[in-house]
Amino acid sequence: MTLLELQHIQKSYQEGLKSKVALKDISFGIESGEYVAIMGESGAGKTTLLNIMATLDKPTSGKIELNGTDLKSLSENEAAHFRRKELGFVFQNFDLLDTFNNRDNIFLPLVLSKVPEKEMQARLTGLAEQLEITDLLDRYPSEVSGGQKQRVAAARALITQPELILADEPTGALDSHSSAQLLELFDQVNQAGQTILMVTHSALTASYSKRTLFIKDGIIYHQLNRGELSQKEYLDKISASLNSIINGGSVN
Amino acid sequence: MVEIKLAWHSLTRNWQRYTLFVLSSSLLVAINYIFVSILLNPSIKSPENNGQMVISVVAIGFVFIALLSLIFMFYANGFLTRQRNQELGIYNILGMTHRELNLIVFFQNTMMYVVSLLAGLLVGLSFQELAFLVLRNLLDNKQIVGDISFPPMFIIAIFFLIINVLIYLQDIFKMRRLNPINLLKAARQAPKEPKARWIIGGLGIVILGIGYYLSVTTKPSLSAILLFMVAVVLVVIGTYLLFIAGSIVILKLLRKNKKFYYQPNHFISVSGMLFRMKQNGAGLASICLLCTSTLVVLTAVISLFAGSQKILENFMPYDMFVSSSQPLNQIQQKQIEELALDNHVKISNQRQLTTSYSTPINIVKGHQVEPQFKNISLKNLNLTATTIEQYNQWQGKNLSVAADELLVYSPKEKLKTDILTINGITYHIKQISDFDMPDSYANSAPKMMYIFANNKETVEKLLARDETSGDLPTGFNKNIFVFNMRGTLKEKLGLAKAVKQYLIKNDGNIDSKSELEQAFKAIFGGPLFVGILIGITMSITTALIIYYKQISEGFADRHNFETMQRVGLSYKETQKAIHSQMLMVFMLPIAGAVINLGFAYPALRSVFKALGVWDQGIFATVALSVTVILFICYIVVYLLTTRVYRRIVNG
Repeated sequence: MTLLELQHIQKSYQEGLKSKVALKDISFGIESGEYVAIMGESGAGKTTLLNIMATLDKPTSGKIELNGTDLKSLSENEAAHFRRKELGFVFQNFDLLDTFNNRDNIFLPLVLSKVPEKEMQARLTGLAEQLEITDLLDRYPSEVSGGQKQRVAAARALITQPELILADEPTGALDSHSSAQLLELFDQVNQAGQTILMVTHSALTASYSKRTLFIKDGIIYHQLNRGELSQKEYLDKISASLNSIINGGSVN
Repeated sequence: MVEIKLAWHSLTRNWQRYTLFVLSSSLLVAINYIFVSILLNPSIKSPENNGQMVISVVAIGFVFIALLSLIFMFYANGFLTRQRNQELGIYNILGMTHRELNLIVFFQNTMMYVVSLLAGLLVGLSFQELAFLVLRNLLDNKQIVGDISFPPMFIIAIFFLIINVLIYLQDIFKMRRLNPINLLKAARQAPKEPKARWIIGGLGIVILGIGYYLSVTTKPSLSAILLFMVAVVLVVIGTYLLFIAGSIVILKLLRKNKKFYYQPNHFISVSGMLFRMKQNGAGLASICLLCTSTLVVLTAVISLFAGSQKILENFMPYDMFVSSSQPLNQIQQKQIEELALDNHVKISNQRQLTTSYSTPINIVKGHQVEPQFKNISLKNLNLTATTIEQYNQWQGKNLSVAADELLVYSPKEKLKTDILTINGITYHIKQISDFDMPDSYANSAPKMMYIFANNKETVEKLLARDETSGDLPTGFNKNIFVFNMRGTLKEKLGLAKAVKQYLIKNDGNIDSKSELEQAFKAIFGGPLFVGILIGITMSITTALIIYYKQISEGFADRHNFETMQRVGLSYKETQKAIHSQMLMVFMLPIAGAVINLGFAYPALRSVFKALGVWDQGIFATVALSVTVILFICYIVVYLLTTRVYRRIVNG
């Protein structure tokens, strides 16, 4: 079943008198249960694309549907409700609030949706164990390490049981050990059926996904399927593709 | 010089925050200037204008305003330095020495000082005429004119120079701790959750409670003013402690209440406030106390002024009051009538009354009258005796009393007895309520009591024979002559002067209501003027503090709201959350101020009663109106600044 569908997405910004095209023509679909990475250099349009998928921004033209909902037609208010119900976010800089302890940070989207306290607690217990953050719940984000923060952020994304997790450079601020830990966690979650879409410029991070889309100058330039490859073999393949893209050569 | 360039560059690039600082300091310059220009004004000082009274009230007001200016300048500068130090830190990283940084700050501060001084003096000069116009009308004195002279400007320039030097020293001191590592750390450091300080919060409640208790239980006496001061100090300390520590305790308790806490609005506001209380408890307490002072000061001075006519009536029931040891004879009375004609004043209701001199007394054992010449307080009665014949003549009545009987007129304190024992003789008494007292029935003096006996001999027997009476005159030979006047104030004053001159050899008192009225204008108009100026200054300062608070908090909360919006807080919900948070934060100080005023009410009543100027109706009306007006202004400031906050938060 197709969960997310983008057709001919175009996005341009007005910059003074000129308009700057960030996304030229993007079309792709994501099936339920997939684990997709979108790769590209800075300036390639990754963030614009992510913002559009996250309902934080709207395309200039084209069609985008998530689970049959036309994201373009959502009002600001509906978009906010949609985000906290259907989407989970993991950001590069964690985006945890310093004024809440970790537990309340995780509860935040549920509180906004007015989920009863008992149910929030019930949902958190298993999740916290899985993410190994049970001992951190009563501490504040400022009192834990970067890797731990990102796991708390992952818990905040997962606790709403969203249709789709959007991750924006999730390993960008992490050391290699914490990165591996987080990506393995994503893997586990995906095994359990969670659809994940992440945006990254790191080949290593992308190599954990099942499918990788390469974006350059506002179009999908190339795409790779992991198939039966191991993570290591897949990494080599991604790196090779990246090299040829940078060198300007055509791939296949 | 590169430092001047950098200083100028930073000023122009961040003009918004510097403009606010310059604007508020020029405003303070202007208000301080107006105070000083009144203090040094030669036309007010002249003795015939009752100027000394006005000057001393203005002087007290000036001390208060100057202190407020000093504190506020430091507060506002704190906001500037916090943001500026980040910029200076970058220069520091790029290799500037502390000496060079000091120089940059020196140039910036100097520029701001010069600009705000010039702008402030300009504003002050243009509002000076208005201030003098108001003062002239309040005091009803045409001789008061504002003048533009150098000394007040010089004093203001020096005063603000001192403030700016102090600020500069503080800036240098703060910059000494500035080094690249600290700076980077400070940027990254997340605020710590404040600890609940139960002891300090409890202490705050206790101190506030004592302050309130003192205020409520103060009895009207001359020590009431002193006790009121003590209560004020306690309430100030208590309010600060309560806002700083107590609010954190309360918020933590709210957070413990899961049902309450895990609701979208409460969730965001309780956690946000918990973190901001530490830095802002003091700010909120200051807002609360400024509002309280504005309320109390304005209520006091306006109700004093509004009630002054009534007080005047109380002090002097008749326009002219002449007392002497001999009754005025026909020739003298005729002469006064002629003087009135000369001064174009119509006089009426001339009456003469002979009484004893009054004696302060105490009634012990329910009926025993004892004179009291020492430690006279408001509890004492002031006994005056005369014959029924005098009463009938004065009041136009035809009453009679028996030899062992007395008529008693005691309007302020009804006697709970049928007999009175005076100098060993017991009389039956009959209380009457019909007597136009010739002298003051103001609340400041002991309560008046008149006794009317059957004849002169009985009156003599009533009089005190105590040797301890000292200088107080005794004896049945106080002659009062009163009349009313119609004419302009100037004409009335002219007649009063003429009568005084005519009766110059008279051994008693001559008082005219017109003279008193003029003195009253100085007594009550001066405080009203100063009170209004102070009220305006405090309101503006409060508004600026609120504005500063909102801006700094807007920047602090911006990131939080951004994150929450990404996680799914809609624009509408953001507005609602901001509203709920602001409402709680903003209602706290004004609610505190109204509660403070409520508790100040009994103390003010005592002070006013001690001063003899209490009028419940006027006071309550004024207190209510001032509260409503301040509340409306507060809401306007709240709405305007919340809009600024919202704009910052929503990027």
